[in-house]
Amino acid sequence: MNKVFRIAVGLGLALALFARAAAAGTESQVWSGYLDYAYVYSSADAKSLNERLKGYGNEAGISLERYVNDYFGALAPHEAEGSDAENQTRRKAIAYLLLYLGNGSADSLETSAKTIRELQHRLDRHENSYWYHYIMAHRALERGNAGEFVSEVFDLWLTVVVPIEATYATLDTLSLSDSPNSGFVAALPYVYENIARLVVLRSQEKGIDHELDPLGAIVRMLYDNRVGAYPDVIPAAASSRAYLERIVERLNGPESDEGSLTFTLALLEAGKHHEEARGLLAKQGLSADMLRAMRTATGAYEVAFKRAGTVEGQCAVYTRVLRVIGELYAARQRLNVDAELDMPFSIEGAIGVYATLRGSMGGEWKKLGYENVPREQYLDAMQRLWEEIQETSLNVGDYYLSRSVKEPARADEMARNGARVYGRYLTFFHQYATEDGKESLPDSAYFAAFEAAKGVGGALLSYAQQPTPGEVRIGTERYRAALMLFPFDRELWPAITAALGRHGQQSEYAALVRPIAEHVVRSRAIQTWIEQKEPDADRIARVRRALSDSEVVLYMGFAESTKIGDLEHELSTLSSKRAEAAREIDRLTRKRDELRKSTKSDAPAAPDAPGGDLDGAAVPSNDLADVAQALSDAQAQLLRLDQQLSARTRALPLYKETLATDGLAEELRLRRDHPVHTLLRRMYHELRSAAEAKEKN
Amino acid sequence: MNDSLVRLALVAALAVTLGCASKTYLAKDFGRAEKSAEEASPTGGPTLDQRRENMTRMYKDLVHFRTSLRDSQERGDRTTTNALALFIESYMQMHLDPLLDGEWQSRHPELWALDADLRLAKADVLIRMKDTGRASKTLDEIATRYKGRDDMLVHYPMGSESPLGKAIKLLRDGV
Repeated sequence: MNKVFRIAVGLGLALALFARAAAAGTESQVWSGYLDYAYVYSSADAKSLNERLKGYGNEAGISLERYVNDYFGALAPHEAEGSDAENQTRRKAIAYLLLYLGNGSADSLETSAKTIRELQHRLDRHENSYWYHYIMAHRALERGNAGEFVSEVFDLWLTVVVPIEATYATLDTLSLSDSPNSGFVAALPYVYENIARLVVLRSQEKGIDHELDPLGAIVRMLYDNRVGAYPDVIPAAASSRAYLERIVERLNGPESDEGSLTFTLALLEAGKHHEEARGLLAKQGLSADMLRAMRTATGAYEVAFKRAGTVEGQCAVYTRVLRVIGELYAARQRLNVDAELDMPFSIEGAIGVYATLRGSMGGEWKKLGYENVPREQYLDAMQRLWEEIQETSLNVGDYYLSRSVKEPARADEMARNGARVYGRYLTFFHQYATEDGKESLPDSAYFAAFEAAKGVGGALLSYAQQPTPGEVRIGTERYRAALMLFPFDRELWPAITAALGRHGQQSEYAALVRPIAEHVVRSRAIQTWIEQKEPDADRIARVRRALSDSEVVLYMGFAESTKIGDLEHELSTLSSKRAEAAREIDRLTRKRDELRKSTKSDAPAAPDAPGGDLDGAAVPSNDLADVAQALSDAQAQLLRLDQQLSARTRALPLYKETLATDGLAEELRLRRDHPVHTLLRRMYHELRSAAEAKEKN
Repeated sequence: MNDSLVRLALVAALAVTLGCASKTYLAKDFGRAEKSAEEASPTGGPTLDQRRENMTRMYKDLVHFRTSLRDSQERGDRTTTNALALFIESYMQMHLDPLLDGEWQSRHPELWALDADLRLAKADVLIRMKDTGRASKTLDEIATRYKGRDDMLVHYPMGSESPLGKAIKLLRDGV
């Protein structure tokens, strides 16, 4: 049987002995008992607390509110003397505190504070001291006085927690911690829990978003084998340990503001509002309630941002708040609702924070707030911020493209907006995806650059209705750049041909894409990937083999992959034509021979006709010349057919091999941790290093 | 301006700074929670265990104080640093110093290592609080109590081990 249950049973039995309906103006033993044990339940949320108080009131035969008015309101201070007076005064203060916690009445809190002050001369008793500082801490919160709140919590620690925890440990060792004689010492696990909730939950409910940093030490101590350390008294599920764990992890990790508790609580609070907004988005779409929740979340992030004193803190806020922006644009696109939301945050702002972080990469990065974390965590923070910048950029870009389809009259405007957003990510990418700083980029940044480059191309060449010639050129170039980043997207090869067709330059295709095919064929990164049998090595090897054939490259640009069946049918037709041509040559050869024979018998021999092979013919008759010409034509035709057959027989199966990477782009889009992202990173830097080396030379 | 006036001005400025930051906790306000160490000097059993637990808990508390002080100082947050310093000062006066008063735990084979760790942690925190005078006194006391035992391994710097003599030297260098 656990301790809580034993306490509850003991308390119930004790109270049952005294249970009687309390008449107005007399002490209720039931309420006295419940008020003495109020530390067990006083930090419950208002709804649960009210339910409890209602239940206790039913048991006592009088509600707490009425009991407080009838008994404490007039009689108690004069009714008892000595220690009983002290007990009644404390109970009265607790009763008013409970009313305040249940219904938020500031008057009740003031009365509670006024009452507990009467015990200022008896704060040597831990129980009095606990309630005194606990009530005063609530009062400080109600008044929004963070400094006073901090002082009261410190007092609680110094005058209650430390003195009783030594005794509690001894009693606990002897299994006496829940003995009725152990007094307030038995309350220690609840004292820990109540202080934890006061500091990390109540302070936030009351909107204290400043000057809580000194309490970081208290939070760390509470987490260190105190809160949650007594599961037989407070079950783990009912304890705030899990939340404390998140807080301490944040304080110590890279999502901190150099250990600021104020910042950490503000960011966690913003996260809670964000989760609520997400829940509403899933249930209601872009409803008014959801937008209100989104505004609250954004406001909370803004508070956290203002509290951030370091770039580390700013990075932590941007990493989270960019999701709000991305989610909003994705929802607008998905739900086809154009909801407006003023945002104090922007992608440019996030890029600015990233630039600051990146600027110190080779030097004093610790001074940006990462003093107490290893370099890996600083790099990880940069990578996570990057991921959010890339995802938000892609979401916003996609949104504009979808708008250009839905609003044909504004197609050009929307397509250009989309191109601008994608283009900004590309600029960001090319600025920072350098050899010396590549460790600050996530692997997925390279595929995102492909998506952005393809997005610019699509925006200017497919979505814009009247692109300028300059835009057509830029779009074509971005398609080519996209293919260089991710050459395994078969859709893009014919898109380049089509784009070149927009300005009548299809003939440029081979010259434009040859370097891409060559890069795939010669890439050491791909070679190593295949040799080491890394994920999807087989699929990539098949594409590489295919791209080594220049005719396959032409197929990639000019054939439609959906019509491979037609191409195969054409091959079979070609074989039939070849057989027919061979038969024709045979027939013509025979005919020529017959004509020669007949010519030899009728006329004297003559030299061969030029270009012909009519050996032994004398002066060729017209018939013989015609046959000879037909034979020559048929032989040339056969040669062409042989060449076509040979090329197509070789290239068509290879072209079919390029189907191997179909779907890979979608896989990479869905999984930002897909292993092939690493290959794309290596391929990009291999290419960039080579280009830079060439420039130097 | 003569030296006395300068000193007086500095003391006054410090008093104002501390006074503005927060209230001061004084042990006499609450009575001493701990008994004098010599009065309760166990030789074994549960009381010794309790002492060990108290010392271990306080050592961990000092680690948390040090972390919090370091963070606030790195943030350049003087308000938090001052508030923490006052709290820690009260903690030491009310709870830690009475625990460290006695001689016996520095001689008890089951506690002396922990006792030394605790005193070093206290000196470390005092240095963080820029109370170099008390840090120096604490180190002097360690040197006296553990005279001739410079090779004893202690947990300093926090998170690692080193001989006591080296730990004292490292801390003195920081004073």
